[in-house]
Amino acid sequence: MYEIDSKCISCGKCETTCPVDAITMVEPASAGDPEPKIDMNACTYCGACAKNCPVDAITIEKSTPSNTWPEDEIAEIAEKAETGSVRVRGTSARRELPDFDDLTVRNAQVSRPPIDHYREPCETKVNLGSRHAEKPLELEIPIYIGAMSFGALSKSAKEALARGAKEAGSAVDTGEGGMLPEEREISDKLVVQYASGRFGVSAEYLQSADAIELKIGQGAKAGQGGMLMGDKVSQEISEVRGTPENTDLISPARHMDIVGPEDLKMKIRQLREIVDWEVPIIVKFAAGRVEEDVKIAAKAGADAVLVDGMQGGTGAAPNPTLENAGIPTLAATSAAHAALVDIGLREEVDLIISGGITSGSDIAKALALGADAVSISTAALVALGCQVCGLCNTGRCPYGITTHIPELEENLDVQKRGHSVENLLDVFTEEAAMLAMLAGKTSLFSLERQDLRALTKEASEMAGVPLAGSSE
Amino acid sequence: MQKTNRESLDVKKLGSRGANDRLKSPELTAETVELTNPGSSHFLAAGLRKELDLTIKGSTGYYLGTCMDGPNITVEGNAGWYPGDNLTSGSIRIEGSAGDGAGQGLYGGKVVVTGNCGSRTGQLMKNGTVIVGGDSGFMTGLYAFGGRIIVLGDAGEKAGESVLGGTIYVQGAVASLGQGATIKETGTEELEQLNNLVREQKLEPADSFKKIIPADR
Repeated sequence: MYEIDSKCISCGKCETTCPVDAITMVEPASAGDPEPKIDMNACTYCGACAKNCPVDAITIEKSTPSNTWPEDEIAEIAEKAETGSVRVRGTSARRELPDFDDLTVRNAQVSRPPIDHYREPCETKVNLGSRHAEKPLELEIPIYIGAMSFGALSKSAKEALARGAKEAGSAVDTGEGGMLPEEREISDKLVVQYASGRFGVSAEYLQSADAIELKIGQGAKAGQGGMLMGDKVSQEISEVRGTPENTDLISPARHMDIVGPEDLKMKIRQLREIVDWEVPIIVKFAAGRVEEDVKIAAKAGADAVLVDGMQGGTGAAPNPTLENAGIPTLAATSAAHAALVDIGLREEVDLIISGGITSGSDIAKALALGADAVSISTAALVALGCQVCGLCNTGRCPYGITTHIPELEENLDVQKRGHSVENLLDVFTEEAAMLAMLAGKTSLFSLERQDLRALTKEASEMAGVPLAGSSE
Repeated sequence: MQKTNRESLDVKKLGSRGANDRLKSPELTAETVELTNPGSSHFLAAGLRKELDLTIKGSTGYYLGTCMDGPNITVEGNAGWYPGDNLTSGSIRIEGSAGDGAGQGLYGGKVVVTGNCGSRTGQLMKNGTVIVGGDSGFMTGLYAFGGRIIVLGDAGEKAGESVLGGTIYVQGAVASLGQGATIKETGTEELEQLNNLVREQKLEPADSFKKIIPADR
């Protein structure tokens, strides 16, 4: 539903702020001021028009008249027919998928006592990557901000995320785009990403890191490379990435020098030599063939593996990939843990999980299934004001997060939003601790599979957790 | 100013990690260093960020000078795969042949191979120069974003595959062009500039070059 009521003053603000040009101011049939006309096929219901309307004249609400033909699918078919192109959008899979909400934590009562969350402490500190690295990544909380590049995100967004992470005792990841100098300056702990396009990679970049994330793939575009559309490649971004301005930057789907397990081993050793064996090497995968990939990475010498589930987010990816490739994070977590146990490297190699983490309870359940830490991205963007509308790829984010248009970027208050990110990390940690303590644990890392029960048969099978009401 | 301060490191005794530790150590103040008995070791000079002249007395393994920033290396032998990977500045001169991916991901500086190169020379390059005295194999310049590759011999199949930027100059035959690449003529002034670079490396200048660039440039 889209309504413009009589309060409209024909200012045209909705037309100028619509990121997909779905609104046009047209002269009315009879006399009067111009009126907004909406192209409902183009509208994505992002809410930018309603947010920016100075007189609150716009009401926008999505309705679904048919389950077989929901509005999104009708609009996408029409778009394909008109443009001859595959739809590219931001954020993550929108379909319903099994997730951590399908699990519940078994609380302690008499068989074991609960710990008083309001009076007693809970251990949250974690060291990641101590297998070979001389300086493991020490975090106050087992949550850090995931890989989102300068390019996909605005400079203000990157700065706000770095501030929030630092204040919460956590880390932030550069993503595949080189390092923004301000990001290194603000961050206490910085994970730098080494991806297939090698954008912005240098000795200085790698040697200034607190950990290196060797990105093989990401959940949102499993089996495909990074993608930054040319419209977003400004002069500053091209300088950081070492690439031409306004050129589409599409990374190869695989590292051109990693085509098998032995190559991965060489790559990990290469990175270690560059950084003098000081910082951890984290190997990141899109969750697909989880067991095999985790085993290969662990045997190749990774300090940690990061498994990014199907619900992982992105600034730009083809819609069919987002919706139809990969394994849900819930299933991937259990599979990755089991793979490490199977090869006897569970104690040596840390497991990090990402993809669709929306709360501290998700984190508690991920830790119980075997994760040592999680990384969050979309949730952190929501703390910056993101509405998860999926228009990141257009470069016209009205909230200043995924844009490089100065007037739009001004909408993001770095100080205020940095504080919001800190709050979010604090609350996620508290929520996770709350669940651990009611399960009778004084440390987040004491959570275990036995503390969980599944609420659906699907979740039970995927996570390897008994159904609620059943015994072991 | 003449550099007189010299040091010699035996890779056989130190191993590649030990040699790299010594090369990076602030205590190493020599401006000219010789690595003996390299034994085709991998990762030599990885991440080295110093102004020094390094001579390697023999052949090297994978990833010679990866992510290096500043040094000038001469290899008196052959090099394995990916010499000069992600080089930021400085130079690598290989007085022999190199494996696949010479100059991969180059950001600046120069990689010179006086002999032949394997496949994918200069793949993912962003800037800088790669010079090949002999032939270059399959997919020369794959996914390059910028920089220039000069091949004085022949180029293998699919030269310039999926190039987004940069230029590949080939004196000899081009077996076939890659997707998204096209061939243009090299002008007289450009030829002279290229030959000046070639002469600097004491290689034989070319009579002409085929210039491979992105088709949509």
